[in-house]
Amino acid sequence: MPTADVSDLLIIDDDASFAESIAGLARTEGFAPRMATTVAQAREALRVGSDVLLLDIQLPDGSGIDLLAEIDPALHRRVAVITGYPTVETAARAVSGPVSDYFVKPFDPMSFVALLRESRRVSRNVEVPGAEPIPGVVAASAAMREPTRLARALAATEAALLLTGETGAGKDVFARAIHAMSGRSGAFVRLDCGSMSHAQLVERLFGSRRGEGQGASDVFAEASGGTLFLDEVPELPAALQSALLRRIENADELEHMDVRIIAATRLDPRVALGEGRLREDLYFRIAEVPIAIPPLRQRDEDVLLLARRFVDVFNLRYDLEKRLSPQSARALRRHPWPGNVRELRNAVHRAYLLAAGDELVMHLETTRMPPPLEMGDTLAFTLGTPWAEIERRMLIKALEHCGNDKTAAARLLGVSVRTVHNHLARMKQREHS
Amino acid sequence: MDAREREWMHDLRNAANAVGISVTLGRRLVADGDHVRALEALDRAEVALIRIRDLLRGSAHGSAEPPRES
Repeated sequence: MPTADVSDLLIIDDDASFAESIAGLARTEGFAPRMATTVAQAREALRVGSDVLLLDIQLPDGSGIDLLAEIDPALHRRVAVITGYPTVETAARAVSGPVSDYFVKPFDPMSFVALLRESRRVSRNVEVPGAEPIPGVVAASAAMREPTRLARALAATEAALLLTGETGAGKDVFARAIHAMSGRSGAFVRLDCGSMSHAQLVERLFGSRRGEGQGASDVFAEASGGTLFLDEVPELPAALQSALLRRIENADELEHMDVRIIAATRLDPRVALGEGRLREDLYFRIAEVPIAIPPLRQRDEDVLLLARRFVDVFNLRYDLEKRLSPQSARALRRHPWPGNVRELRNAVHRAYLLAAGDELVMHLETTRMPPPLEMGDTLAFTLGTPWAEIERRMLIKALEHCGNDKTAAARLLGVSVRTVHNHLARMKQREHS
Repeated sequence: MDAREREWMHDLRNAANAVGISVTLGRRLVADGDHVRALEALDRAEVALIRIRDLLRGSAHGSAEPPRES
């Protein structure tokens, strides 16, 4: 089982033999490797940070070079590109991105070992010892003790876990940490039930090839031997929740598929059950053990640790040596963080980029002042504005902001596409009447 | 170099790389006393060597072509 002293390696390569061997070599150097073999899998895998990212240029469904623009340098500390067919063009594109190393196959294994050792040396210098109880999760607060204990204890079991917590609290990172600790060799596959159309959900959950049986291209087949992460399950329409339950049971009992289910919701499951947004039978199937991830405002000790971690990550990325000012540390502790870890990371990044000198000065109170006028991507409401009117104007603004893309607007608002369509239909109905 | 030659070269580089990494891993695992994993690593090296043999044989029989010397 990985410990706080384990570093993360993400291998994106379609050559299974090479990936297995490089993963084994990395394990001997104290790394916990994760693997992705396609561009699609890589996009999911890139959402969780790594100490070293090894990216092959030639992948079966696209070019690894195209992924470079999607790599968040704040999440991935060191990016190395590998290629079996080097060209001047790919080398130039690679080094213009966040790439620090470029390997041409076949390369000397010891040069890769040297990269791993250098990466660990740097990591040790910037990390807070003992502050990462599970991979990728920085936590030293009392509030995080129980969820991280449960994650460690249950990672290697088959228990279906339901992660609950506010938006931005880190449910996705938590799910990936559990998968990383599980020892499961299959992929981690994430399905965001709140951001897809009904047809897309049907296709992803049940496969697209009618008449050829289920599982042809569905998420269960992709997650075989691995973990299927069902994010925002209560956003699924009721009929699909029922079908999902049957699919889970069939995969388990009839198809004998080895798929570990981790689900998540930002809602209180009791409220979701009471309001009929979550079917009781599905809830009992996916929530053998619920794990509540606390909001950042309940993790006092973690705010500063996380902020320092983000500063360290940005220092590595930008090759600078900035630090938090003492005033900023106080401001960070006072702030309520309604957007949780995601808001904290963005706030640190903003302050980092705007800092004139070596010290980051956080003006959190100022950034939380409501805008006096409605403009750009802001909305202003007078106290007493009816709720329906607030929803209507928010939806219109979101659609304007997203170029009338309803899926993007739904994602922005944190609701399902179905909810957006329902609201629009109601608005049209009201206009006609 | 045409597309077929490029693919041949890419596959050959991949296989050669897999041999090198697998043998290095195997040596380390033997030193650590983990003979089961060491054998797995050596199996992967052997499979990669067979890939190299097939690539070279394929080119000799005209089913794939090595790149011409430039």
